[in-house]
Amino acid sequence: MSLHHITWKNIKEHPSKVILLIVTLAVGVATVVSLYSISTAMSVDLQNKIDEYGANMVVVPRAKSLSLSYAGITLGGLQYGSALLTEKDVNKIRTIKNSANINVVAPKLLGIVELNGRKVMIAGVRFKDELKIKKWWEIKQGARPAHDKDLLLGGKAAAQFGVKPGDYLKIKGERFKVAGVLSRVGTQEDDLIYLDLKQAQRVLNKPGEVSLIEISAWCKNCPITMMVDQLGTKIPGGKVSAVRQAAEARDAVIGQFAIFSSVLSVMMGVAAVLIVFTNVLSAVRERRREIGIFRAIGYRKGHILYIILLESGVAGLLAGLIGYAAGFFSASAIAPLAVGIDVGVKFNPALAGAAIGGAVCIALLSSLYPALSAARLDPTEAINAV
Amino acid sequence: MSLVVVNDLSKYFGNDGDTQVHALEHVSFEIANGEYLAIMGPSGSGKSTLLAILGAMSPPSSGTLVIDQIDVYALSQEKRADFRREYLGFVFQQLQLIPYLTAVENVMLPLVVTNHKNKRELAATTLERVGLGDKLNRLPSEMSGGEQSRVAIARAVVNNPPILLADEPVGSLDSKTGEEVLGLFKQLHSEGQTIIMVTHNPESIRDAERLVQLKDGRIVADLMTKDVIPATKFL
Repeated sequence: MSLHHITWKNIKEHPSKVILLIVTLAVGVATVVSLYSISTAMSVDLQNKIDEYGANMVVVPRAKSLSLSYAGITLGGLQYGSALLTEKDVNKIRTIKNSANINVVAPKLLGIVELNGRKVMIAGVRFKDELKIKKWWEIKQGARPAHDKDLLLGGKAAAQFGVKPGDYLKIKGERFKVAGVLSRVGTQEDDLIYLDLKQAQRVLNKPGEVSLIEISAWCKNCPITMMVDQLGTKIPGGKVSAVRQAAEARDAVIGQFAIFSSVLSVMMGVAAVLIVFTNVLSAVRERRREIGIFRAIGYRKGHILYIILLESGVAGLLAGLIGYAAGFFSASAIAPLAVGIDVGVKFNPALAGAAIGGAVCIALLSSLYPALSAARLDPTEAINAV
Repeated sequence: MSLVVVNDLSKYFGNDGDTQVHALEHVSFEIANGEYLAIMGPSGSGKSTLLAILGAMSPPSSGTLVIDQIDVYALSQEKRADFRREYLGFVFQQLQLIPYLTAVENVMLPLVVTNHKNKRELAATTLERVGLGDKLNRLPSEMSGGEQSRVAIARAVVNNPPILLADEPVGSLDSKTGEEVLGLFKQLHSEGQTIIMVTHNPESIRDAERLVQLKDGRIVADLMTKDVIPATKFL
C-alpha cells in the first residue's frame, strides 16, 4: 500500500464528491473550450469577410508630383502621362512569400477623356476582379459587362450623360455599349465610367500600363505590414501602402472578439476555482479526523498534501479530458447552427493541452489552501483529543 | 536508564489572567523501558493533556520530555512526525480506524510512509498476533467492537514502536471484549513492550505495574499497583 492507494480508496469511498468535482471542472473547461473554439472560428470567418470587403492594400506609382486622386487615394505622375506601373508589376504580386494570403488583385488605369464636350474620368478595370473587390457595388440597371466593349457607369455619370443600359457612348471616337448602371454610393465612384482594362489602355494610348493596383488579402497569420514590405520589394517602382481604415476596423473587431472570449474564459475560470475550492475545503473538513490520525501516526505535512492534491489532480486531469472533448464537440455542433459561420472548428492540440493543463492547475491551486490547512491540523484537536 | 523522562511539565491553555486554564502543573516522573504504566484521574485532571504531550503532539508550556535521550519538543514539527512514526504507537479512545480501508490496510497505515519492505506481510502477521489472521480484508464496519480494538492495537504496534500509548482502550467496550483487549496489552507487555495507558476505569489498571494518579493537573500519587490493589481504592 502507498499514499496513492489511500487516495484511490478514498475516491472509491466517496465517488459522488469526486464526480461533482470532475463535473464542475469539466463544465468550466467545456464552456471555455467551446467559447474559445467558436470565437476563434468566428474571428477567422470575420477576418476573411472583412479582408474580402474592399482592398486593404494599394500600390501606386512612386512619383514626386501628384495630381489625381481616386477613392481618396492620391495618384502620382498621371499629369505627365507616364504611369510607372505595368501589368508585369501586377503579375509579380502573386509571387510574394505570402501569396497564399492574396485574395483579389484589381489593377486600374485611370484617365481623363472628353465625352460629349465634358471632361470625365474613366477607369480601366478587370471587371471580374473589380466586382469581387467592390462587394458594395449594386448594378441598379442592366447587367455585368460581358464583352470587351461594355461599360459600367456610376449612377451620377449615367444621369449626367442621360444614358441607360443598351445605349452607346463614344470614347475617343470608339463606340462602347452601356451594359449596366451602378447604384449611387455617395463617393467618386458615382462619377466614373468603367471599361475593360485593355480597352482603356488602348483608348488612353498606354499599353500595358496601370495607374494603381488594389489588393484584397486575407490577413490571418500575416500582418498586413509584412505583406506591404514584401510587395515593396517585388515592385520597386511602386509605392505600397495599407488601407489604414480597413486594417484598423479589422483589428478592432478581432480585438473585441479576443476580449469577449478572454473575459468569459476568466469568469469561468474564477467560478471553477471557487467551486473547487469550497468543494475541497468541505471534503477536507469532513476528513479532519482522518487527517489527524495520519498526523498522529507520523505522516508528514508533505504526505497529507500529496494525498489531497493527488485526488484533486486526478479529478482535474479527468475533467480536462472530458471538458475538452465536450467543448470541442459542442462547438463543432453549435458553431454552424447558432452562429452560421463557414469556418469549421478544428482540433487544436495547443488548446487541448491548455484545457487539460489548465484544469489540473485550477484543481491543484484551488485545493492548495484546503490541503495546506489540513496538513497544519493539530492532530490532537483533529481527532478530538487523544 | 529511563526510556521516558518527564521533567517539570506544565501546560496552560488560554491567555494570562483569570481565564487561563492550568491543565498540568510541574509534572515530573520517569518510565523505564518495558514498564506498563497507567495514568488515572478524574475527568479534567489533565491525563489526556499529559498523554498528548507524551505522544509528541502537543508542546508543553514549560518543562521537557526526553524519550530515548531525545528532547522531543526541541525537534521541529516534521521531525516530531518522524519521531512519532518511529517511537510511538497509538491506540485511540474511539479506535479511529479508517472506515474505507480493510483491517490489513488500516494496520499498514504507519508503514506506508516508511521504507519497510513486505508491508502487507508484516501487517498480516501482526493481525495474526492479535487473533485476526482470518479477517484481513474485512472493513471496520464488518467487524465487532472487540475485533476493531484488536485492529487498532495491531496498527499501533505494527512498526515495533518502543512505546505504546493507549487512551481509554476499553472505555467503549463491553466487559468481555474489554477483558480480551486488556489481555492483549498484558501479552504485549510480557513481550517487552513499554505501555502507557490513560484510563479512568480502575479495572483497566489491573495488569499495569505502576500507577500515576493525577488531580487538577498535578501528580497526587505515583505507586506500584501491587501495593495498592484493590484498584477501587483509587476511585
